[in-house]
Amino acid sequence: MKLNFKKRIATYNLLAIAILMAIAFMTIYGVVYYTSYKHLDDDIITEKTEVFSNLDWDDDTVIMNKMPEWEESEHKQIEVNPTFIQIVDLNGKTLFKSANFQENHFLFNPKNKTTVFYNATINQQKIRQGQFPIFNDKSKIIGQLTIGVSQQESYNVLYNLLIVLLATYLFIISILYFIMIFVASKAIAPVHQLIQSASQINYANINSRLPLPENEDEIHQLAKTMNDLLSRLESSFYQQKQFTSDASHEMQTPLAGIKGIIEVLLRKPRTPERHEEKMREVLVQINRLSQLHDQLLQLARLESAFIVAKKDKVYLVEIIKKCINSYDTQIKKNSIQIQNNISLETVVWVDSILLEMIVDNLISNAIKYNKTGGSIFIDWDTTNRILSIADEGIGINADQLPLLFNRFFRADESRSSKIPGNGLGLSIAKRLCDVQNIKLSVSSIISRGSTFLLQFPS
Amino acid sequence: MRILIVEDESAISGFLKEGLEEEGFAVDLADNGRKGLELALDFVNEYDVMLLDWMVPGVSGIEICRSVRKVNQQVPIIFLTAKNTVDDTVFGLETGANDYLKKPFAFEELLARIRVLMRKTTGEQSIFKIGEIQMNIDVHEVTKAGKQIILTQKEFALLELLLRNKGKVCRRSRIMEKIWDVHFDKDTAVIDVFINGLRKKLDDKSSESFIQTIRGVGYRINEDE
Repeated sequence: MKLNFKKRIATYNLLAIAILMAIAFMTIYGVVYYTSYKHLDDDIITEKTEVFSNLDWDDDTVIMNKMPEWEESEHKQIEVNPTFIQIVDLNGKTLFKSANFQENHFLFNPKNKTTVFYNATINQQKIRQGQFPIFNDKSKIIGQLTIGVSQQESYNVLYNLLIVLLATYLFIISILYFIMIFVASKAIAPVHQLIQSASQINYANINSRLPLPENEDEIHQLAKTMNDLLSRLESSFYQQKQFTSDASHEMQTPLAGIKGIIEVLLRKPRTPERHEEKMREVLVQINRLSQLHDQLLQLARLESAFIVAKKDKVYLVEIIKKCINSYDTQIKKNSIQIQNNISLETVVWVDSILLEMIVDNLISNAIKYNKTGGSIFIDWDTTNRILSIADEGIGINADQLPLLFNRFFRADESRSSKIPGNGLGLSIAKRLCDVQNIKLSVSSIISRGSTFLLQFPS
Repeated sequence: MRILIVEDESAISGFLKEGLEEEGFAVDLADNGRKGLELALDFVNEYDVMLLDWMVPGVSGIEICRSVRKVNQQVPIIFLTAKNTVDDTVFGLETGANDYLKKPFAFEELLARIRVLMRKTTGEQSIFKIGEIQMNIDVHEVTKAGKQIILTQKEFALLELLLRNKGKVCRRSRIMEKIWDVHFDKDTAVIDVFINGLRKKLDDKSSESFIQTIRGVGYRINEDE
């Protein structure tokens, strides 16, 4: 059976209370029961003492003296508080039987050796019976005395008590059940409120938060935890949204350029030279799109796949020379001096392909953003295992440095300097470094140059 | 007709300037927000249209739009942007732009929208008549007695300006501001060259010129009698 939370709380509480109440009621009943029978048993013992004082024996024979009070009404009548007495000898012969007995006999155990009390019925009357063995002077049992008193009154009291207790019990339990359900529903009302508010939050209003209850209790904590979760979701949601919007912007711009250049070109008849010039402009935009596509793909692979970085023995100088060589034309065109101070035997243990991608990006930036005739300094710090690549270019504003590795971020200087780029290169390099535990950092002075540092793990 | 373009992407600003100049507009180009804001505020009453890119370095297109609207409610502003959600469009229009074009857009559509906006703000028609001469701005055509007359871009723009202000004197300084962009030097003698061109192409040899010279002030086209 599946109970909802509210009913479960109510049921468990009720069960606990029911058990405790049952124990309490049983104790009450038990105490009353014991007390009333103790009272009866005391009466029987008083009667027995009286009877025994009138008994005598001769060897094994019980001799009865005259007992004047046996004529009292309580021994003759059966109606009001009767006391029944029966004396039986060893042979089972009844020596005495009080008048109120009429034809009835006590049932008793003829072999009984000690005092016992038990309940019986005579003439549909509830009787409390006590049986006492009669001893002679040699401590031999020579007969049995049985005394009975009516217990109708106690029986009635106990019976009524039982009925009252049972009725009260059932009544209280059923009332309690409804109270419990009410209390439980009150108790979990804040949870329902949370459910209500939480279910209304979707991607359109992900910036809304759950109302925090005034009491700083568990519900408050739950709501707070959920709000924190929402905040984290929101920020990753916006990052995703920002990425999509940035990616779309980067795609649309060259597309809009191509479309516009061709449309304007086709509006009127033009010279072949004009056509060629415009086609070259279009080609620049197509190359830009193609590069964007490659880098987006690279980024997608880096973010989705689990990359296992190998540990190759890499001679730093080889990688750097390879990267510098691939930018030979641009270096010559902008008359850039390269000061490569890495010694031949400098070795790092990293993934050579990934490192090449990182160094390639940093060197291409150092060339791209350098001033004409500027220098690039490449150094190795052996103690801290840091490779530094410094340029003498436009530099980056200090407040924009923290954003530098964000996808699609381009500092204002680089945007207005007309240097082509889409702001993906450094974010890819950063990711490639993270995969290999290489720390990538940057320092920069505006219009003096930037220095990128790669700290390799030891 | 003078247009301000604020756009940092040379691929886009290049063809915009080229295409619009061919249509007879004087085009001022700003490739960053600061320069754009400066031009926009300096010549706020001279520009007939402003084309703003939303995301330009320095000052954003939105901020330029807001600053312009503080001093001039009339000048038509069109956003050209790659931001393409409904929210962006609404936000752009709410800051005071008159229109919003998503990149990539068709150049002809941009032209059409510029013309519609200019017609709305000037509240004037796009077809003018003076004697036998008829000028249709929308299809960029001038006819005399049904025959098409080929005008240069500057001639066309000059004729349009004079016709739009029919009966009023167009001062030389105003003609310079409206027809030539900010980089042109202030030698107003160039106006006379183009006025002569117009007269040659459109005047009846027998009668007086339809363009009156107001000496030392400017030029005027009179209403038909």
